[in-house]
Amino acid sequence: MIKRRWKINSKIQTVEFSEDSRLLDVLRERLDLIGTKEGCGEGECGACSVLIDNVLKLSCLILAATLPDNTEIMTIEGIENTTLGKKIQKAFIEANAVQCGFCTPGMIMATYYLLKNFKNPDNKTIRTALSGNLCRCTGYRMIFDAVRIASGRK
Amino acid sequence: MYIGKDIDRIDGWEKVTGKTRFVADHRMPGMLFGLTIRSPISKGRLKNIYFDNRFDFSQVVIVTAKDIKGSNFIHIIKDDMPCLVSDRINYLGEPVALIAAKSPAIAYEASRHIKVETIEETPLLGIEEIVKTYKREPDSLTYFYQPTINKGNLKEGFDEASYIVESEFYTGFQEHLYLEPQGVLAYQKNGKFFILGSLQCPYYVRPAVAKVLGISEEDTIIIQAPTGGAFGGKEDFPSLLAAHAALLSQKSGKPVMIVYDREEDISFTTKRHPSYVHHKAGVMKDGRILALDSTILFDAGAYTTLSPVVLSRGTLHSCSVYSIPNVRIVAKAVMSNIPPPGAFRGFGAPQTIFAMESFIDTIAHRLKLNPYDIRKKNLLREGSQMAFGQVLKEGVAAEKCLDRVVAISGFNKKYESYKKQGKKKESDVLRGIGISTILHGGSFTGSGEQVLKSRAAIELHPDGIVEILVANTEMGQGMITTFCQIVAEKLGIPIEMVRCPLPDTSVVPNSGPTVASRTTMIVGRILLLCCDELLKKIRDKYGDEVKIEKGIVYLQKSRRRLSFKEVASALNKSGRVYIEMPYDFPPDQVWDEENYRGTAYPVYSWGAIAIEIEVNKYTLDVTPINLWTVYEIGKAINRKAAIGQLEGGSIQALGYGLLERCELKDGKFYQNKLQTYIIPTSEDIPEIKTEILEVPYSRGPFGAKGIGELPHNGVAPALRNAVLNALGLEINEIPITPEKKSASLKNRGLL
Repeated sequence: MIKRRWKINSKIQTVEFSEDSRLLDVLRERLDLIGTKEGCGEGECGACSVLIDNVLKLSCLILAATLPDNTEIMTIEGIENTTLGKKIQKAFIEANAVQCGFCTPGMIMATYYLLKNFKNPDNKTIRTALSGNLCRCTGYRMIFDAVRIASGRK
Repeated sequence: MYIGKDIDRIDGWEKVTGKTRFVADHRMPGMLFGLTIRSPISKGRLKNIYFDNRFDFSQVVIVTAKDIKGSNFIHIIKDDMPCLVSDRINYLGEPVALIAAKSPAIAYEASRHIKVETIEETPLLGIEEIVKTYKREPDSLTYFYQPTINKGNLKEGFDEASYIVESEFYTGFQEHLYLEPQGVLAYQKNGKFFILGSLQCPYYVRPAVAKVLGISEEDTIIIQAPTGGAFGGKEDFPSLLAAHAALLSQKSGKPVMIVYDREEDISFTTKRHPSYVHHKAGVMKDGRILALDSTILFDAGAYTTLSPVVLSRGTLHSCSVYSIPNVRIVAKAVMSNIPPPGAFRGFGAPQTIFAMESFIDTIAHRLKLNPYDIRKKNLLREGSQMAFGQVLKEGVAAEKCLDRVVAISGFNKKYESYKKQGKKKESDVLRGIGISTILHGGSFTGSGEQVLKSRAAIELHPDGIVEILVANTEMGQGMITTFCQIVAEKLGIPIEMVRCPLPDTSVVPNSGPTVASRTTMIVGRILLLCCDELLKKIRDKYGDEVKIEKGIVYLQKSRRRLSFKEVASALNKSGRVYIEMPYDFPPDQVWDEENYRGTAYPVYSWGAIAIEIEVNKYTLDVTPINLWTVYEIGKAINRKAAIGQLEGGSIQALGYGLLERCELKDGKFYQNKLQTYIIPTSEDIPEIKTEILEVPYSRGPFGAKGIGELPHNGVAPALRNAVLNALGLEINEIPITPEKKSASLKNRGLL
């Protein structure tokens, strides 16, 4: 077993896990952070997106043991407590960017990362930034609308 | 108050905060993880299941066909699909045994020490092989269903026609690719079996599981977990998966969860049926079609499952929106050795409409007519008779949709200009524009709804909350919000006072499956009937005329006003206020299954699509630039939810036509991962403009018709027609990959 002290959603937590655990497994099984989803387990769908030290990553492709102590991890459960995150969540509902909700946590993480780095992204930037997150329900246009609403552009 | 408005999703906040618990997010004490052992061959016999004793099998639970206490068949239409192979093997990946263990890792380790030993036979694989055999020896094939349609006099029609046009069309598999893979959790409590699952039709799963376990349906309780997309993929398949988990739970006495990983899900669950359509038409010089002779073959896979009804809907939609006086259609669902294809949004119609909407452009192309003009010459209008005898009575909006989409896309001008561009050599990129006009019948085919006898209920609680009790499922489409809107509007109460929990078969009546674009149209109507009944109860209680607005009950004659909550509390004093009503099947909807004639659907939704593309002259890569869609749906109960359905469906259909290649190689799907099975991403979609037209349906709730499947019918043929416009190539197979275009160019000596 491996033991790490991470800052998860702004809270310092100690967590133990087996050597072969993916970060996705640790979040879901050890910490009950079930908002992070497994859609493919091979880094294609983006449903497991989280922020690691403020960078968007796919938790299904990361061996948890490779993350040292003091790593900062933010999941969908931590998003609600940030001003920007809450704004994005509201915008997703307003724009009807949510249908089944399975891709939604990952999609919101990707949006959060985009808007952290680009205050007012143009349409092309939005499309590129979300291209690692698959959605099968919406056809994406309403998700683009949500990003624009969250960025203050209507 | 609520109808036609943009109402936020009731389950939205839970979903954006990641709090929604899908089935894989559940854990129970002592829960085991299940895994499936599958057949390594496509056809043959099971000789032996070999357990390698280097693994300690005492740490796992194993189930084979011998452990089944009830029937070893999954109940769907015809009980011919085994739950587990006992002798005959009919497809590669057919379930042979089940394992459950404390962890997925142990279950996996056990699976590596089990060998399925078989005697192999020659399988029938692939639609091309089916077509080849059909042309040579049709009697050597096995058919699950073979409807035929005859209208008018085919010979006279062909004799009178100026031209004969003929073409063949192929469509491939399509994987639903719901983001949440298939999963169920089976457990026992107080002598009853429970299934919590990602599923569309709890009352399909219930008899299937009960029969396999050998217990009563009352002791089998199905609960829907929040469902992460389905699109038909969770209509029939969960019956098999739930039976597997239940068997493992029955043997082990423990809760058992089976969640497929993506590769297993793509490899072994249902897909859209591959199809072959041959059309031969007799056409007048002006483009009027006088005669149509069609053959339709669907690859129906190893067992009957839903193929008869999928083929039926496909056959009934195969003339698309055209009124043709003389028609013969011969359709067949052919047995083969692939995992049974199943329900998928559109249910057979996207295949046959692809063929007809492509064929009409082929006729236009060969006769040098404009695709818009030829459509106008042949459209169904009010009073038209369809090939199977139905006379269209109300709300025929094909022409309205077509005219509108042609206007907003600038189709005619672009079409003519793009047709000539091939001669100019300066640009590397060619443009093309294509259209299609479509329909989709709402609710079950023929007398299906009469057989279903759906019942829905509402309950008025003492605190004034109105609870909707239906077996229908929220899988993303927005049913919960739509139903709450319908009930709140009808009762005159705030939407916050209406609840619509996910179904549990021990609580809700059987309002039928969540399929066939029937939920709003049929079950929404039953809810209105329930509301009428409740309003009557309130009138009777106070002996007064009643008007309810914003949750205030006005007693008209006695000029009293009460809060809805007071009324609820008063009504509950004399017992539970539970109102259950059946669907009132329209008496004039008569379908003759024996002669395959009559009113196939009570009403149709309509649409027209235009798509503009760019084609790279060297790579033959197609980039969709603009997509215009106009859909007529009776009434949009929730405007943004409706647009969400229409756009989502349109993009799924774009994937079907352009990207989603799924090939069989030796009985296995070659593209069985997300790395190889490609669906549209945010970078692949065109600019989309969606318009809704509303011609209210007399029997629909607030005029609403079916909507869910309609948008899957038209984008693929419009795209194919745009390629024809850009390159002058008739490509008759989807997905239209660069390889197909290149092969077509080579055939014509152009490459």
